[in-house]
Amino acid sequence: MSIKKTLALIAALTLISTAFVGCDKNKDSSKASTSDSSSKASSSDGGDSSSSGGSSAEIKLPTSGKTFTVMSWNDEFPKMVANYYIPDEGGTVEIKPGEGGDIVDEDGNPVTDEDGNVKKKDLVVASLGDVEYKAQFFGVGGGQASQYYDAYFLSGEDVDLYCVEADFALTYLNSSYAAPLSDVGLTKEDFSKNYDYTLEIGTAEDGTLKGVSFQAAPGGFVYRSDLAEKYLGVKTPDEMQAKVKDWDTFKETAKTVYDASSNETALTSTLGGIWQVFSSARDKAWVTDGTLNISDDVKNFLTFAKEMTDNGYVTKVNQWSDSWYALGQTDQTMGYFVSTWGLKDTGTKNGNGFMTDAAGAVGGATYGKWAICEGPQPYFWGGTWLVVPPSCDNADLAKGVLEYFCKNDESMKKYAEKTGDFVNNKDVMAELVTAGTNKNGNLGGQDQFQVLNKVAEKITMNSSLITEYDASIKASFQTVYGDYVENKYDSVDAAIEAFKKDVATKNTDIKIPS
Amino acid sequence: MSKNSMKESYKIKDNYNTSIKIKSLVITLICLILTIICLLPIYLLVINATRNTSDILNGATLIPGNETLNNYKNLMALDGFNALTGFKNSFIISGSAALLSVFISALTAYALVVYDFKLRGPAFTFILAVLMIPTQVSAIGFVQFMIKIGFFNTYVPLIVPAMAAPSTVFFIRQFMKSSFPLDIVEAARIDGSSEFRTFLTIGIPLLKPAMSVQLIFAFIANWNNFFTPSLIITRTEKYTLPMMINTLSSDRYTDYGMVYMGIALSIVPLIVVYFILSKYIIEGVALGGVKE
Amino acid sequence: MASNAQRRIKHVSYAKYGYFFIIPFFLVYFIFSFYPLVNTMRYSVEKNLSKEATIYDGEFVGLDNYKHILTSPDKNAEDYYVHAGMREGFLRALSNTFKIWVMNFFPQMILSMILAVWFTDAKLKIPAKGFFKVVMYMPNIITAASVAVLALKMFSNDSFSIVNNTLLNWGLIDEPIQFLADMKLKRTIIAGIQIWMWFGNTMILLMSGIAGINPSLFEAANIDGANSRQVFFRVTVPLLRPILLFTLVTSLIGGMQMFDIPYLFNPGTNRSPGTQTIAAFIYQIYMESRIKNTGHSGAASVVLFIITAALGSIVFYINRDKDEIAAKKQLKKLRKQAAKKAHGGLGL
Repeated sequence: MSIKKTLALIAALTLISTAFVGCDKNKDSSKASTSDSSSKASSSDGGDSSSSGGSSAEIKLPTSGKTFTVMSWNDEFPKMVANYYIPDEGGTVEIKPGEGGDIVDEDGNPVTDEDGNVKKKDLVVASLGDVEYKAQFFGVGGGQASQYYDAYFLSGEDVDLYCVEADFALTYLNSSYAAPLSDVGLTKEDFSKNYDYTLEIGTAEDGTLKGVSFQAAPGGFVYRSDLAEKYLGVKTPDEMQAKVKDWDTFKETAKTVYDASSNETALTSTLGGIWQVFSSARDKAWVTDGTLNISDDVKNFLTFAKEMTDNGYVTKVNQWSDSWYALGQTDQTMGYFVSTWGLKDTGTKNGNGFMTDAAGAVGGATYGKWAICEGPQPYFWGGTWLVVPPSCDNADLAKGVLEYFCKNDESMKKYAEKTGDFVNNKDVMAELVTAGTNKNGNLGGQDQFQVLNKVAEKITMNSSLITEYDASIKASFQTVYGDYVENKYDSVDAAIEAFKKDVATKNTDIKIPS
Repeated sequence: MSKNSMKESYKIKDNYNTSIKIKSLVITLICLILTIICLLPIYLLVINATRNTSDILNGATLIPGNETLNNYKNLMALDGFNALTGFKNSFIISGSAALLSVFISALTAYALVVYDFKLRGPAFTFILAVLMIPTQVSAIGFVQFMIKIGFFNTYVPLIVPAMAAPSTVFFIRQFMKSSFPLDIVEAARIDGSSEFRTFLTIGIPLLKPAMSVQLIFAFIANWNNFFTPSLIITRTEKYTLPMMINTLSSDRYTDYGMVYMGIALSIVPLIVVYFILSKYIIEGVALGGVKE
Repeated sequence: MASNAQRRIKHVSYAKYGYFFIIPFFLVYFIFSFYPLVNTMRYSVEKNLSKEATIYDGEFVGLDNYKHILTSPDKNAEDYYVHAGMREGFLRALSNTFKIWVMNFFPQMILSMILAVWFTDAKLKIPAKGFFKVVMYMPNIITAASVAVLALKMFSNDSFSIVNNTLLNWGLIDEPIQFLADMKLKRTIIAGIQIWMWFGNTMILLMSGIAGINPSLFEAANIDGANSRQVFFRVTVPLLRPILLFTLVTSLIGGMQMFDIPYLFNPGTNRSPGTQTIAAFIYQIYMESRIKNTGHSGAASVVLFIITAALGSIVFYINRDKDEIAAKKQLKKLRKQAAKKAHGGLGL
């Protein structure tokens, strides 16, 4: 009796222990099978290259999924699918305002209104035929997306389409979590109207297209037109452009503004914004052939940043902080570097980009007092690429969404007109610019497309400037230039040394030249 | 000892008594100040949880406000922060980890005391040797291992490993050594009780004092654990309470009443339970100190 | 003699239950603690090449990771920057850990010791001793994460934080103190929080130590006319030495793994290096690297393991079962004597 019980206990324990071992084995075999399938995918991809001449490649991934899941770090794209694609396909969508939780900023923190109340986002309930739509987002900033993504992929739950940002796009495009778009029946020819740089970023190391962007993100310099007139006598965006046409002129103008405003107004808001412009025009990527590059642009930026900060030509506020938004409603800064997505202005309470929030929302303190010009250098900032994972089981819907937002003129035009977003379609944008129908309320009725389309054409942005290391290195560099302008290093060289050490410790696969 | 002093002359005794009285008074005062230092932060926290942001920014006070419900509502509406989910998650983890670890530890300690087997000495030496190894030193291997066997983002790595708690085994063994009547096991054997049943029906009731103290400690330790969950759990709906609280540390939360409410919710229930169980806890701590 | 032999036979027949009962503990320990530790040691001599968090792809690099952490870098070497960066980071973390520990331990020890002596002094009439004990132990049970966030809100740099606001209102300062900007101040606050959380615990440990001292020793000292200071230094402290040593070492080990408060006391993404402890260093170089840096954090873990193992052996020595050892010695003696007697018997 006693022995039996103990034996039972032992048996149970042995079972548990074999379960662990068994588990281990199971996982191994499942891993083996996934790598199997991915090798299958790549071999089928190889087979596909011969037939890629055909414009309508066949769908290779399954189409039988009961749930269509779109994953992103925030709700922007999942909601776009619900608001535009699903209704147009005859599906049902119900959006419950304010029931989906908080709106969060890039750092994953809730965005509050002037009363300190957290702004709420909407709950998306939608279905398309007998397929249920699931908007899977984490409410974090793009910079934090990867840890959420990794965990989600690890959990093996359903995902059919997901978003990546330029900063970490290559990490996923070159991983086993990205299938060639030919697997859902789409080829490079389908996206011939996309801006070139977006296609270059979306192409993986093996040369296959694995990601396409629904937006292009050229940026300009947004400035307060009333202050420009007061301090610089400038009346039109073209005149303003002459005042900021290169960095030397930019600095002179900053001095004029600072002096004329009795040391109150800084020409631009943040160093982060300036760096965004600088970094688009670097002559070398952060990493080439596995070696870190410290180009002259980097050193020049440090010097420039220090000069601007010391003289009060730029505020000490950080991007994405509360004060960054608040600045726009004061006279402490005259301008922001903003790209397309920041300029969305619907004239209503919802769906606006950053710049409208900075003006204090529609009808806010400085709403409508802004204008845009090209700025010192053409640059792009951001963009969201859509990637199909090999685990996708709604390939038909994934294809549909990709075509709707990245290929078809009609739907893309509709989306651009409704939101003021800069869609990734040269023909549509050219048409919209010619039509000149877009009026941005926050820019006093100016059409930002006119300016930004010019910038987009000038972006020679070769994809080689983008590396999989960017998100990590950019974060290291931000810390270093922040410390440098705070006088934590004696010289530019000392700052660069600290930067190199930080990069080296966080990226052990990069060679750092001395 | 005071009896000795009573044998001294009355005068000395009077002086002595007065000085003792003054000394006692001073010490009591010091203790009162320390009591205030211990309680004040918690009190201010609770008070601030009942006030709105603008009042809080105007300065500290000892009088409660009337924004409690509002703060609670705002907190509940937050996206990343869900105190109730955090509570539930932490409770599931801490409860099962504490129960399992105390049971397994009692079983182990019982074996180390009751049975005379060849490896008893080495087994106990091993437990002593690993008593002090912190989780941090094996964390990297642990996380990679959990990822490999598919336990990432599950509660298994937070519950099962806690079952092997060397310090709990050590404590219960010491307790048994000092107070466990081995004869009773013999008696049970003569009555025909199986060994495992003897452990369940005789061992556990006799070990109850030690086990309940360890149960409380194990629960608190697992409840307060932040390091391991933050390595294993990345999905917000699975966050433990300390992880939820961490999200409140962000500068971007400007609704201070709400933030204080969140912190208070994580602290106050624990304090209430503590005061109810304080007798056992203090005894347990004191017992742990008797190493001589 | 016969009953002894019987018992021995009995014990032998029950010995297997001893193994059955300890199996669950050792099984779990070996799978979830020992194997990961061995795994960590393996990682410490490898470099992870896998860019995907879920896959590990190690390459043997010998002692490179240890070299980077422990030795001074060579300016001309190819790995200079990772070497210098790791070494600086590790040394800084070590020094932060030690600084915070020193600022925490000694004041805490003095405070706890004084309180323990007062509370165990039967001559003193302190009312509500039990209440004081309960209240003073209370901070120890509060979640460290909550304490850190609470302290963060109370000590923030602006003039609205509870501490700055109160000091401003009382006219003690003219400008808000930058508690979180000054690293020294920040470390001091962290040490202060640790004292707040742990002095009650230490006090109770010391009290039970003092209670374990034979009262006749105090009496004897009193009869000899020793004053309370003499009693403290000549009787209490020497007799408490083992427990003081125990407290010192456990506190050192606890200090080495300090993580929650120093880590959480740095809000946002810019975790400032001024308060980064060893445990936080291990955590951060693993979590915040682009490629999960199992190598260096593994090596740092092993170094931490060696330090704690060395410290732990002291605790081991204190904890070892003296009765058992004494009993074993006694048994050996008896056996020898028995053997002698047996020999003697033969000789007769």
